[in-house]
Amino acid sequence: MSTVNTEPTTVPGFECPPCLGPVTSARKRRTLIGYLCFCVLGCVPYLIGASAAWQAAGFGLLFPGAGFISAGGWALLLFPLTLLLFGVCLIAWFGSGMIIAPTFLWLGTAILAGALTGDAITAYGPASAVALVLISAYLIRRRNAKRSSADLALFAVRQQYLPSMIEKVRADAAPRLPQSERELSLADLGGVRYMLDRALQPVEEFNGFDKIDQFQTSALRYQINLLGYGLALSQCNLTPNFHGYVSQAQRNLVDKYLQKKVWDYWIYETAWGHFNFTNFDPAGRDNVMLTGWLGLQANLYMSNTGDRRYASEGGLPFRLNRSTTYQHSVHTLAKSVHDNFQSSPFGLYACEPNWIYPICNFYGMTSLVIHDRLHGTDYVQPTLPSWLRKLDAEFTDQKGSVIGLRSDLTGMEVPFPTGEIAFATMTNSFAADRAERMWAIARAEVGSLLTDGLKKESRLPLPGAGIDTGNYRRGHVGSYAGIIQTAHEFGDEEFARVVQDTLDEYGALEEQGGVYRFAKGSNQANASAAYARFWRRGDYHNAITNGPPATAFTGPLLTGASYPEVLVAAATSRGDDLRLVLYPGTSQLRQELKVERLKPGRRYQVKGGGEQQITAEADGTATFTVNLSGRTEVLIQPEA
Amino acid sequence: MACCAFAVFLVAQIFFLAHKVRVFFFGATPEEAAVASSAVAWYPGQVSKNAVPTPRWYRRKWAMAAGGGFVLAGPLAAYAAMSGAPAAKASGLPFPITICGAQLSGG
Repeated sequence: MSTVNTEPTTVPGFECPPCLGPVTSARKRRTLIGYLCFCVLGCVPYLIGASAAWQAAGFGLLFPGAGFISAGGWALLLFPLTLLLFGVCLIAWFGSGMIIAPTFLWLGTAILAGALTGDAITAYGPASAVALVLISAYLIRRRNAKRSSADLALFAVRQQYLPSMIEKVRADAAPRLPQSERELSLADLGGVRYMLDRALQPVEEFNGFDKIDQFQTSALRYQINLLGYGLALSQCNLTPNFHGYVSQAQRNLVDKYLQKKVWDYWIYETAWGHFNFTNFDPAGRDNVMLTGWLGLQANLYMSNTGDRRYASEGGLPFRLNRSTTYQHSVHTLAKSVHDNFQSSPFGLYACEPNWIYPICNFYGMTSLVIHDRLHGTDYVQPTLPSWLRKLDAEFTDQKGSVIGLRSDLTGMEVPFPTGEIAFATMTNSFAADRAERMWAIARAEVGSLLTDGLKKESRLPLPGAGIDTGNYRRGHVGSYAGIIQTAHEFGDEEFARVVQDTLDEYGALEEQGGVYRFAKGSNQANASAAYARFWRRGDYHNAITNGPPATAFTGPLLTGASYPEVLVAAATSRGDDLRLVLYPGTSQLRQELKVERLKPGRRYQVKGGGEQQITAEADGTATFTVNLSGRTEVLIQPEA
Repeated sequence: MACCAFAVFLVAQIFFLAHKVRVFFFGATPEEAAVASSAVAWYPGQVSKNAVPTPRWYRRKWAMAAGGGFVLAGPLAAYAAMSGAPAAKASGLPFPITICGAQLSGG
C-alpha cells in the first residue's frame, strides 16, 4: 500500500488528494439505498411464501437475469444472454442517454422469469441470486480499492515532480511569435485544404465526413465543430485580413450544423432520457455538447470577422419541421449553458440526459468566455469560482485528474478516454495556472514515452492500439493531434515537432494534389491533425480571449480569391497596408484578387506577383491580377 | 403480444451486439473498411462512397432498440394490471401466462 506524500507542495490545488464531493456522495448513497430496497422487495415473495412465479420474478430484481436461475430448465440459458444484453443496454444508456434500456431490460427479464417459472423455483435459485449480489459487491469494492490505491500513489508522485516540472515547462516554452512573422507552410496549407474541401461543398452534402451514428463521438456535429475550430484558428492567428472563402467555409459549417440530420439526435435523447415527447428544443435542458460546442464555433467566426449574424435573433434556426423552428442565437446558446451551470447541483451538467461529460462542459465554459468578450455579458466571472470548486470536488479523481464521465442520476463514474491533454488547452482560456499544471502533468507522463529524448530521430510511441473517437476503430491519430495541439499551445515546440514526426509516420500521411490527410485516421482525427500542424504558442488562448488584431477590422482586407487556385498563407495589415503570402493551388498561375477597405480613390502600390499600381474605387475596393509562382509575397501599400 | 415485442427487442439487441463483437475481434469487412476510409480519401468532385446510405437496419438500430424498449411498457402495464387478470391471479403469476399464443407450464 502506498502512502501519500504529506510534504507541503508549492503547487496550488495539489496539496492533498481530492475526496469524493458531497453531491456525488449523496447520489451514490441514494443509488445504493434504492438498490437495497429493490433487493429487499425482491426477497419478500420468497420470505412470505408467495407463488413460485412471484419468487422468481422477485429474485430477478436482485440481479439482471437472476430470476431465470430460479426458473430453471431451459430458462437458465437466458441468464448469460441477459447479462450480455444488460451490458449493451448500459452502453446505450451512457451512449445516448437511453435510461429506459437497462431499466426495462432488468424489469422485463424479472417479469419474464416469473412467467417462465413452473410450480416451484429451483433449489439453488435464491442462493444464486444472493451470491451474485455479494460477488458483484465484492468485485466492485476490490476494483475501487485497487484503483484508489493506484491513484493515490500516482498523486504522490505528481506532488513530487510538479513544482520542478512546472518550472521546466515554463523554461521550455518558446515565445509567442508576432503575427507578422508567421505564415502557413505548404504542409500547413495541405491540412487547411483538407478542411476547406469539406467545408466548401454544398451545405446539404456531407462528402468526406464519417457517418456512423449521431449520438456518440463519431457524430457529424463533432466533425463540423472541429473543422470550424481549425479554420477559425488559422484565420485568427495567421490570416486575419483574409475573409473570402475561409469565412464562407466557416458559415457553411454552421449551416451544416443546422441541418436537422445533425441535431435531431436530441429528439431521441430527450424522449428516452427525459421522457419528454413534446419539446425538442436542442438548447434548453442539458445538451451542452451542442450549446457549448456550437456556441464556441459561431462566436469564433464572429470574433474573427466582425460579422454578427449569429448574434441576431433567430440567427441560428433549428428547423424541426414545417411548423416548428427553434429560433436561437449565440445569446440563447450562452444563456442555456449559463442557466444549466447555475441549476445543476454538480456545477457541471449533462450532455446526454443523465450523463455529465466534463470535456463538453469545458467547451461550454470556453464558449461563455468568448461570448462575454464579444457581447459584453458577464457570465464567466460570477460562475467560474464555484464551477471550478465543483469541478475539483465532484469531477476530479484521487490522482488529481479530471474524470471523463459521471452519471448525474447515480453518481457513478464510467471509464471514458480523457486526460490532461484533453483539458489543458481549453483551460488555458479561463484558468491559465490550472492549465499550466495540467500541461506539466501531461508533459511529464506522456513525455516519459519518448524513445530518445528530443533528438531529431526521436519518436513518441503511444501504448496500446488506441481508439479513434471519430470512427471507433483502433488508432492514435486523434491522440497524437491532441498532444501536438497542447504542446504548441504551451510553447513546447521541440516536443511538438517530435510528436508531429511520429504522427506523420504512424498515421500514414498522404499528399494528393496538395491536400494532406492521414489514411489511418477518421475525418474527425484528420480535422484535428490539420490544425495541430500550424498551431503555435497561445493560439487558442489568443483566439478566445483576444481575437485577431484591431487591424483585422480596420485595415485592407482580401475578400476575393478563388479556391483552390489561390492559397492564402498569410494576410496581415499594419493599418493601411496589406501583406499577403500566396501559393498557387493549381496550374492556373494568373489569378484575380479583390481587396476591400482601401481608402476610396487612393492609389496603392502592389509589390510582388507583378508590380503595379491600383486605385481604390469609391467603395474602397480594388480588383487586380497577380502572377503566382511558388511562394508569392504580395504587399499592397498606399503610395506616398 | 407484449412478449413477442420483447423478443423482437432482444433479437435486435443480439444482432447489434453480434455486429459489434465481430468488428471488434475480426475488424470491419473490406466493404465496411472502404466506406470508412473513403471519407478521409474523398476530394472535391468525387462522390464519396460514404454518401451511399448505410444499410437500413443499421441506420435504424437505435430506433429499433428504442421501440423495443417502449414496447416493454406492455409487460409492465400487464404487471400493474395483474390483480385484474383472473387467470394470473389463480396461477399466482405476475401477468397472464399466454405468451405469444402458447400456454406455458406456469399456468
